[in-house]
Amino acid sequence: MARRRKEIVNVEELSLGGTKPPVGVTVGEMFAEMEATLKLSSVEDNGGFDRRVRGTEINRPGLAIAGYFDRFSHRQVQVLGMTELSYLASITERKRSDIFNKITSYDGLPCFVVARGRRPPPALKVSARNRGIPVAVSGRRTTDVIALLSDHLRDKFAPRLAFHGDLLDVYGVGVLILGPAAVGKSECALDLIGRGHRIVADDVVYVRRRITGELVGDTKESIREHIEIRGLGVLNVKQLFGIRAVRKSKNVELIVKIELLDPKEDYDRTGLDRTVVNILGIEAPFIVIPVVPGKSISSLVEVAALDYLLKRYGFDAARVFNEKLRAEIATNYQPDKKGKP
Amino acid sequence: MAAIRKKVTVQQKYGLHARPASSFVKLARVFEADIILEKNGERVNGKSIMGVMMLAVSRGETVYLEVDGPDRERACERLKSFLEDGTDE
Repeated sequence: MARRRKEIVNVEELSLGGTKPPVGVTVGEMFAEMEATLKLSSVEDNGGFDRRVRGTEINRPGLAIAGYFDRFSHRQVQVLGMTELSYLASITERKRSDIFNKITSYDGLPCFVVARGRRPPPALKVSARNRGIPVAVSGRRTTDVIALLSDHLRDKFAPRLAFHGDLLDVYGVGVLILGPAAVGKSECALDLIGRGHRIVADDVVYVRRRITGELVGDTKESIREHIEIRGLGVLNVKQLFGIRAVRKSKNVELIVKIELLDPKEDYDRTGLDRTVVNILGIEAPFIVIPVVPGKSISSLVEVAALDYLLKRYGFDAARVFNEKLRAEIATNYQPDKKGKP
Repeated sequence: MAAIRKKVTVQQKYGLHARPASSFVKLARVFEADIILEKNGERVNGKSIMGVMMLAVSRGETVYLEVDGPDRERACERLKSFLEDGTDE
């Protein structure tokens, strides 16, 4: 069987570089995005929605509530569960208000979340209001609150790369289209939208790596659902084509680079070798399509997506073809005619 | 042959909204060099209008121009003065 060669393309040449991880997520944003997931029943902002969560860790302040403050992780989101609440119920009101006075005096404490839909103790409410710290109540169990919040924050703080290109969902395959300015990326994207596919991002694509190892692409909210086409200007894809033409994010599975045809360049003709790009430690298949007059880039991208699907489901056309060819060559071979064995 | 990186304070009265952004991109495309515009660590291609508009740069904000290519000196100079002179506000 033919050996498959693998080439790795340097991502630095393709991307605009890493974007700084966000300095923090504001508590307001976090609660707004997590409202449904966490089943938040009440959120008191206390004027502190601009406070920032700066990491992915979540703290249960049980030990601090019991009076042990060495190593109190005050910069993390504080989640109060049944343990904290039942301990608090066992002490006097005076002690409760002392303890919350002390806890809320720590600088940079982002917010409190009370789990299981329990009412926050009045002492907590008073101290939080005095210091401007938001308090939310979640209908979920404590462990679920912690898992969901930590997942959300890990996603927010995941390493990100920015690309100049377009991201589309083509037959369910996330295709990142790259290439130099004015080569026709947006036009190709528009063509694909016309053929029934969905766009995630035009011009600026953010790709991040999830803890599960997938690459996820999206774009900044302000330009989402828009596309810029030379001669037409900025278009709103959702208004023009409807909801079926857009999506918010998509796993990035295939990287396609469009470039002007370079006659000297040796483009892949067999499909036997595998070229990949290493993006944030994850390898994604990479193909280069040269632009030639009269060639429809978008239909080539469609076929590339289908071929990717076929490979994922176990059928590698180039390899199967070559194996048949080799078998035929072997039967045609007659050692006595050519002399050499 | 390293890229040039310059700090620029944008002077367009209403910031880089659609019109000045498109003039900036038009100017950037004249040059062969690769042009990156950066604000608060967010990097976009200076030849892409959506990218430049996405940065939503307002007057007085600091951005970085990163220019690399054969004509980088001239490209950087022209784009820098475009932003500093508040052209096309």
